[in-house]
Amino acid sequence: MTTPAMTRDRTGALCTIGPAAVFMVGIVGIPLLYIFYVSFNGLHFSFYAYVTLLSSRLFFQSLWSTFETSILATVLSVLLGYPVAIHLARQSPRRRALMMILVLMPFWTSILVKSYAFTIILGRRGLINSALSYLVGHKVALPLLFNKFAVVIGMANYLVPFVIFPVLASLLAIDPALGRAATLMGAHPLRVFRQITLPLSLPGVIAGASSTFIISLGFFVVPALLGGRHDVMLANLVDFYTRETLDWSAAAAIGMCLLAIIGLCGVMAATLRKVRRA
Amino acid sequence: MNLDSMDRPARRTRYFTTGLACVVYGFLLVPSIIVMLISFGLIAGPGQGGGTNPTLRLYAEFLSSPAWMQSVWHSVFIAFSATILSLGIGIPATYGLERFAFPGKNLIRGMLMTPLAVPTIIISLGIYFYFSTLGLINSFAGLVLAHTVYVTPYVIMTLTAGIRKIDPRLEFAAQLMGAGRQRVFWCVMLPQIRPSIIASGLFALLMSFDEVVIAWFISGVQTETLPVRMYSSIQWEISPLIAVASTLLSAVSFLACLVASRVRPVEGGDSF
Repeated sequence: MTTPAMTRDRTGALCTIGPAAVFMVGIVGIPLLYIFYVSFNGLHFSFYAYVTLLSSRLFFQSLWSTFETSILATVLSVLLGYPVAIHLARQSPRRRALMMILVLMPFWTSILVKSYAFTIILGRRGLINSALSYLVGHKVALPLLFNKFAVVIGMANYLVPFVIFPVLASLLAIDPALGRAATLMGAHPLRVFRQITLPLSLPGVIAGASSTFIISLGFFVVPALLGGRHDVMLANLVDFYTRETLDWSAAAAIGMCLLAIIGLCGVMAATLRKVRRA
Repeated sequence: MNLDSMDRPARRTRYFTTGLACVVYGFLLVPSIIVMLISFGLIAGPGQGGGTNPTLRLYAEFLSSPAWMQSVWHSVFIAFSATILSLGIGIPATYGLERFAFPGKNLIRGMLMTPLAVPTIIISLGIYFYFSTLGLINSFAGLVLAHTVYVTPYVIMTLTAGIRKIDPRLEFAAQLMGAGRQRVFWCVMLPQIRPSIIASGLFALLMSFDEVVIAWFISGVQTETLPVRMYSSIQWEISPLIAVASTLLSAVSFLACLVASRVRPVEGGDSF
């Protein structure tokens, strides 16, 4: 892409991009390398931190919990996001822009606000239990908070918009004539959905699900506030080792593992998308 | 296709998906609504009596609580400083990326976007280690610097979309008529992208104001931000004042959402 105004002015490029590059290297690049360095115990090079992790039950428990929670949250987000995308795709552009606010508003709402609200909704004396108690007539105290259920609900509440945007984009790209033709030839709406809408929107679903899953893996606030002791995810373990036990090399090693897992999933998602496109 | 021309199964499936979508809209919006109701005393929050009369008592309590108000001012100060800094480095960087040709450009572009690809918890950990050795933990300078790099990728993305919309021939014409590089930048390019600058500045402001994970790692008692105070408060005491703070944050997000629906910012999804 060469525009008339695009020039090969190295000094110009250096002067404009330089400051931002210095910031990124200085405040993100060096710290990332520093985690790597700390994870191998700095100058006294050793694999000790990693070896310790391999024998740590807590680590494997939270590794498993991270995957389990992320998969559940992704599945729930896709199930919740898909109908909304269908609904939005059906609206006229004007109405769609208006209804998008219903999705954008939660998208921009702080994760803290959501977590706080869910402690109130799901708590032992929370809104759901109070409503149930009122309906049943005697006290109900379902354990809805501080468990995996609460974490998955809270995460899905945050993640649904990340599914809606790409699915909506791929739904809008479908030629509406396809569905109309199928309907005219007598196809039941469910069949139209199964044979036209769903397959053609699959790229959007894959994009949404993979980004949702990858974001889930690094979740920190929701499991800390809505989860119990057994729902600790890797990000919380990083926090625990940094602040509670002050074991920097363990925290760094867990951080490197999390980064490797997320990087691997990112590469896998990218290849999946490329394979589908080819 | 209007509803009348459809047969019954078509209409039924349409109602079904609409119903389902409305349930999800409700699910998405319910947290913000609940916190608002509690903050105005319409629902009794945890640790409160049963009184459910509309009242601004919690707001009065919030405004007169030095600890909460101080965290608000910290957040405001950090958000404004980080926004100014990120615009200061983000505007020239976007201009450079869009208007200069040089080797390794994609690599540089990718590097400027690292905070988007790396989970915030990892960035927080790295910055925590690094700032500990530099003595920047529990300092405003540290928080401002960290938030600046955190919001800069979003600033660059929004500005890139803005710059790509304007006609580069205008800048070329100015150049032909003898304007220097600097003059083209200040007098031709900047005025044209003013809306994107305002939008990206607002995003930066709101994102920094909302940010909790990095701040949780590197702030201390003297520099506690509003989100950090909320986080520890939800974890330990569940004060009803969290509802007021949450409503405040929701109002701020509502502003962001209004801006977003006007300029179509960074869409989620492909940024990861």
